Amino acid sequence: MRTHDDGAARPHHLEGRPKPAKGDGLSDRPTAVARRRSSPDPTVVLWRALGSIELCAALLGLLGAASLAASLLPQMPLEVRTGASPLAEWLLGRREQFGSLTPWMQAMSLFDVAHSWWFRLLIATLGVSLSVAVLRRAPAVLGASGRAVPRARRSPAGSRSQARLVRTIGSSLAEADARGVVVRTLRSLGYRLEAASAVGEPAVLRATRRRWARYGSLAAHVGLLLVLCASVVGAVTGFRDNNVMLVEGSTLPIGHGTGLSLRNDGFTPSWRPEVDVAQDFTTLTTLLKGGNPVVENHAVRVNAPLRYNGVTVHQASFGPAVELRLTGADGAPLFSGGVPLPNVDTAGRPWGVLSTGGYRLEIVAPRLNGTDRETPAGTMLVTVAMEGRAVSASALAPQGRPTAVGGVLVEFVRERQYSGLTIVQEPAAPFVWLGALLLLLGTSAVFYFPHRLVWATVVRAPDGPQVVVEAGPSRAMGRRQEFDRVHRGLARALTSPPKRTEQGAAVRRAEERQS
Amino acid sequence: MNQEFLPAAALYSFYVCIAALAAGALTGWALLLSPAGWAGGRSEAAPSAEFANRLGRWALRAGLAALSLSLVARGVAAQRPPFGSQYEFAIAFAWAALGVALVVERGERRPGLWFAASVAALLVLVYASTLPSALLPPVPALQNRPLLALHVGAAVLAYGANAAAFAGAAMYLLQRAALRRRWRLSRALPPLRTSDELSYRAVMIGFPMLGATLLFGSWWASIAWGFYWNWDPKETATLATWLVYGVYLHARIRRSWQGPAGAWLLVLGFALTLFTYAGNTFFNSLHSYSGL
Repeated sequence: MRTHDDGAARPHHLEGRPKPAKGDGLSDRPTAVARRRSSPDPTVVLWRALGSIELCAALLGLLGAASLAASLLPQMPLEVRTGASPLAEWLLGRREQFGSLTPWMQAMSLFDVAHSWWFRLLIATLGVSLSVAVLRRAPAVLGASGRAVPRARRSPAGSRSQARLVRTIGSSLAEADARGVVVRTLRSLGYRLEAASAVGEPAVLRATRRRWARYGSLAAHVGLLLVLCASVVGAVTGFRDNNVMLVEGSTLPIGHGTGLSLRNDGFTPSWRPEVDVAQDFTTLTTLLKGGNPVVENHAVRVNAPLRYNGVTVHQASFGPAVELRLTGADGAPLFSGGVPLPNVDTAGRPWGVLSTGGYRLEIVAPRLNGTDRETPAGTMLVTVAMEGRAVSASALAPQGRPTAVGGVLVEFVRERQYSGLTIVQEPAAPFVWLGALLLLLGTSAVFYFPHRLVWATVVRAPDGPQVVVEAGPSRAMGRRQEFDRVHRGLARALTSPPKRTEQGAAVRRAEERQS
Repeated sequence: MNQEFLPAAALYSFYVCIAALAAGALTGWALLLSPAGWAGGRSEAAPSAEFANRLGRWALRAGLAALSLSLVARGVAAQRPPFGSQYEFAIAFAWAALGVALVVERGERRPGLWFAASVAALLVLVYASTLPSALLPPVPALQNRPLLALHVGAAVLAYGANAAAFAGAAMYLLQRAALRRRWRLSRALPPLRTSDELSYRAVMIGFPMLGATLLFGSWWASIAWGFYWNWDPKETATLATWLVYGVYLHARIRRSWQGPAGAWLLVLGFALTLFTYAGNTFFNSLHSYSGL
């Protein structure tokens, strides 16, 4: 066996041949650059600039910087964004952190990066850039894959950034037989003959493995585009209600035209014995439509939401609540039900607010841990005021005994728990998943299962034919190892005892049929 | 027996790994700073350098094996993937950095990533030894074993690959400085092209893995919290990191970015990776359940 590693040297039979296009289908090619230079049409220039790698890299960099800013700087919660008063209060807190820079940062939307005009502009520009890139390059990628087997007339010349992988194998076989052995061996190594010179001409063969991986880059870019589009659609469709507090035994309409309502049939937390952290918490729920249950006794847990017709109910939090009855001065019932106590005052007591019948009640429960002299166990402190008035009255209301406070009769029925739920409908979410999956599969195909290309040229030489093997240009990992595998296989086959005429003839016949 | 033996086995394997990596790092330094190292690790020129190179690689492999044992023992003891706390993640991070470094530098003869990776892994493990290591049951949000394995497992591999890419970039920048200043150290370091290529290979492993981290994290968030994207600081920082590596991969197509510019991008990417990793301690985030 005679083998020769040409390294960076260019074999004589390849001299003067043009370099081929590099191959992920989405990169700019030298020929495209040349065309761009010759085209003065501004629309064409704009079209090419929009789909260029430079613009894409710049946009990704800017979006990365924006994301970093969003993770470093405090971002406005949803409830702050929707009201002027909470916003002013929230910004006051930021002024303590950032001082005189705060107004400037607020003007630049640095406290709400995701909803800022400049971030949206960046996303939109990236969407346009991706669309143009896909439209410009998809025909080349798809066309190359669907084309009939072309005639190979030359082998590649490598790329500027990579070492060329070329080796020569000597053989004692006849030229036609050598060609047959090369074809058979490449096939046994998992390669498919993609192009071949005509029978009778000097044999130049192009074989590929995992040809489907050429779609990877295109799939990844289409996937990212789909994620962007679906996220935009998702922002304007569906709904998301965060932290819906549903006290045990209460029913709450979900709204948003769904006709659904949700009932809390019971809440069960379990605690870690060693630390004061909930190990698990479960809300037993019933979903009703038109008053009729459509889902009954469904246990909603953090990782097990309730799903019905695109609406999902997620367990988010929990806390103490009280059940009370409220009667007006005229004896008319004003309220009967649960009141969540999601806040904690400076003394560590949970408290909540109930607004009903023109009254505003602040309810404070005893501390959960330790003793509380102001609000002993079995009581609650109730402060009642007329809506919009500052004057109020307070009293301790013992459990089970109606107490008159501020002109109303308050009865503390029992302690309860509330369940904090997130109720969501996201019609565009499946498209986000599809896009993300395409993105992941595409990048995995490009990097983990790369398309392999090998050229084999049978060259006449005085002491028998020589087979020159060359790896196609690729930036993928394992190129050298794969090339070594192919070289070893071919070297073994070309120097093993020949089975000449029949196989050579069979291969020739097969190739003639193929071409 | 399991409740006592397995955590102890995990702990002892952890110490064995630290010892192996310390030995590897010392060997690496000796190789770089000795006249044998200056000969470039070629066996015909300097047999002792070749020997030290092999010894260092075997130390790294031994460290990797010990760390694998530690992770398996801890996972079996906890009956879940061993990624439930900052301590466990740190161990897995070091494991992935070593593993990826070994994979991408297959076939390279000079002391390359293994040395830098063993130093980086050693630092991460020393940090891990300062963290609380008690085996606690996971909080409700983490009680999803398949997604814990997919989401955090992908993050572990991505972080490890980013560390390996950083190691390659650091080697590149060190070699570049050595060549410019004509330091003899340059003969022991891998050629510029090799370091650049090794870094690129590591990014090829890390970039899809970081994408998978985002995908599985979003999927999990949509199940556990009801929204697939919430601009949570941790997920936003992960997105920023992924975008930086996306910039690297796109920019690298241009020849002008294959070299120092690309290496500096990888340094930035790894700084962001560390920022994202350590963010559990200072982010006001939904991910603040790291055991700290």
